[in-house]
Amino acid sequence: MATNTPPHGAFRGFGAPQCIFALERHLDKVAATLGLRPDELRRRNFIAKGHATATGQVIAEEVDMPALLDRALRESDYHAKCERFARENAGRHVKRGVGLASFFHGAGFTGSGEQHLASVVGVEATSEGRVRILVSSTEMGQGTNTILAQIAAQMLEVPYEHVDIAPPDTAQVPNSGPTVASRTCMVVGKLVESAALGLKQTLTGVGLLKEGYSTAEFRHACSAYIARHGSLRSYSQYQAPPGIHWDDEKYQGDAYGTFAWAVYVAEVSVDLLTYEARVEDFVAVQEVGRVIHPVLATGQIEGGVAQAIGYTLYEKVAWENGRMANGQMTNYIIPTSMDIPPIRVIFEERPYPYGPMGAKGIGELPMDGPAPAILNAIENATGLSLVSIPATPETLMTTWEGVHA
Amino acid sequence: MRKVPITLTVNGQPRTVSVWPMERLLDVIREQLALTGTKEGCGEGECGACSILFDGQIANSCLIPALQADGSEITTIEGIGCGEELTAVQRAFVECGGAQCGICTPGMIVAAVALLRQNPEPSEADLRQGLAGNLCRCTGYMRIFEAVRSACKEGRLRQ
Amino acid sequence: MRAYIPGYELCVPRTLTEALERMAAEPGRWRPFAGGTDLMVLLEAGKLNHRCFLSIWRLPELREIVIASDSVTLGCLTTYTDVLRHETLRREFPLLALAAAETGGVATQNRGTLGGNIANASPAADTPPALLVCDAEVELLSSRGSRWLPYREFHTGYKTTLLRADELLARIRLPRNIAGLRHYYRKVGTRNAQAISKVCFAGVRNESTGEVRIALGSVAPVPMRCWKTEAVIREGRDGPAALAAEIAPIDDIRSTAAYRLRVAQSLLKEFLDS
Repeated sequence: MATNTPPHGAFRGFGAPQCIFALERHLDKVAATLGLRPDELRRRNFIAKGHATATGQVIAEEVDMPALLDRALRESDYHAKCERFARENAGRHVKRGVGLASFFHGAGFTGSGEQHLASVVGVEATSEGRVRILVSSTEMGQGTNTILAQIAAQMLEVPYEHVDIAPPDTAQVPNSGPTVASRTCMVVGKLVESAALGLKQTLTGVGLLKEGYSTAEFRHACSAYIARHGSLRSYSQYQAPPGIHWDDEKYQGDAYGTFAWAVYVAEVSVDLLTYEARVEDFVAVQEVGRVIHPVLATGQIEGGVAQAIGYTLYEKVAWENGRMANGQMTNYIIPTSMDIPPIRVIFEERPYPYGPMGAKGIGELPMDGPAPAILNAIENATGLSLVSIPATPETLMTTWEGVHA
Repeated sequence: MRKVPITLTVNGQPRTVSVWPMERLLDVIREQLALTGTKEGCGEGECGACSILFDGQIANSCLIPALQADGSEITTIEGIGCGEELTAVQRAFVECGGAQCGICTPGMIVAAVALLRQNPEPSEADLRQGLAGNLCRCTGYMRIFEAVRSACKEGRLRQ
Repeated sequence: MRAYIPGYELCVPRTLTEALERMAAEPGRWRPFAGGTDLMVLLEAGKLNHRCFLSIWRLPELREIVIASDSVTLGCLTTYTDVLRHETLRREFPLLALAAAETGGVATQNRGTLGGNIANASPAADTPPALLVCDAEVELLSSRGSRWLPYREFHTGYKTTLLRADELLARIRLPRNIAGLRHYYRKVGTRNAQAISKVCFAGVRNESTGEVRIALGSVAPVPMRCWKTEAVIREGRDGPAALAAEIAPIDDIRSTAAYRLRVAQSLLKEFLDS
């Protein structure tokens, strides 16, 4: 099939934001049709351990969506606001509303993707007892270097400051796969953890280290080992967690080793004089296995939510004869500091056995929830049912006039 | 057209450079002065990644023609703090996670410093308005606000 | 960055007299260049067709703010920041201060000038609607002398003004007669900051005399004072309907004609009801 638009690439969420947008908008419509509140419909139909997903994957981990929902509703004061806004909106041209979305995001490559990647990670030590992580993962500010160093430091019981990350130069590092798919912490981090364990076991295995060793003892052990053998390096290669089966032909089975689970709540205001919708408050609750670094993890959620707010309200791509007509910062509108509400991030932890220290992946998760939560909130505020984004003022106006003609 | 010499004070030091009159001050800073902390994010005055202090006020260096910088005093991110000695704002950015990819960070810090020099106790609204000309795609701004608040608090404790 | 930089000239006259003489010697050759927040954007986009500019940024005569008993005169180099920091301007011309606060971010406000905002003649500019309802006058200065015009006559068509080839827009004068009036300014942009306006509305009314002044941006090829709508409102008839007939909004990359019209009318209603 030929089109006249330029090739498109992957964007944060990689298809999940689009599907979850449709699902979560639709669920609110189902709820309304049944006369159920949006949270009640979800509560009655939440997936749990033992249930199957659309690909026939039986959820093998403990999932407590009702608890996440309760937390999100409480933190956002959802019911009280619903009731208050319903009362106060009459007679005001600035309407307020709340909306929610519940969703999950699988980390790592789908299905047999990670097996095909067969990522390899190395951890090596120097005679000075410094540790070097050998990965092809790219630090771009998300905190890869920090968390991988934390993981290695913890496993090897050495100070974080003694861990270096080798530059991702193919001459120096093995292929640990691309820095995508929310996989770096969970998949690559797990390999760092096991490679570090392998390095420790190499030293303890030949009696150079005993349990409860000090940093100085670690350094002596590395020095002695390298003097004898020339180098001290341990590699770990990806293996699928046990019990994971995927059928590439039928696209059925266990799509992901695990999922992060979330409930997001958006509070919006819609000014019916100008049809501008604003997000006034945002609560993001997610269960992520284990938080390796709270500041970095929070930064991922806040950044993803902000990006998704842009996706939902401002970022329209204007096409003219197959060309993007608004490819400049002046006319492709992303949110400024005055457009983003306070974002409250709450983490729950339920360690995933095959993640480093129990961590799951979270990079793309925050992109999935805001769009439907915001449009659900707009509907709650105004009764306007929008089914596409961005929900620009022009679109809100056209929809409003269509309904109130 | 010919290049002309201009003299300006850069981070406290007098510098003389030869410039095309309409050359962007951003390019003079990066290429001739070799101060690459100041970034080009958009080349149209929208993103603030090129922010500097120009005669004491924050300005987008991509919008200043070099000849107008003759006789001016500029401060780039390299002039905020002193080598390894970071200012309160910079330390707060590190502590609070105010930087992810870092492309907006130099401009954002210049903007925060400019704001706090003007208004040492900004309200939430002042804070958002003061940074509104600096776009960030990674952080969602929350950690950045936190960093500026933290720097304010430190400033308050000092007094 | 799409321009061939060595192809541009920028001269820096040391005095206002020198600037005007240079403009007179080669009329049309030298165009004034103030803070550059519009011109440099055009340059970087490869759309600055004119090649020779004359920097007026450091001429002190053009930066003065003079308060007289019946008027305030602003030099063309008055920046948005200058407006926001000036107590008298903020108090007596709150519309101008609101407009200044809506323009760009702090960095733009520090370098952008009122003169530049007017002379760039974009119909979407933020200060012109405020200046129009303030009944501003502008001084067009050349080496031949000075002439003052009502600002409402300045824009003659899309990006066309009465400025002659050897003239500089030197000063803006505002009569001090709106301080006690009810004022309203609202800009609707693509986001809350750093936004080009989709609709910009400025209004003042005197409830006791019934006087009303309305001006809009982004709804016509020029910033527009809406005389006909004002007359209709004074007569107690349908203002929003008159506004629909008077303005001519278009579809463009930012918004639609239908949206601009509807919002202009809503803002008018909000102004009248306030």
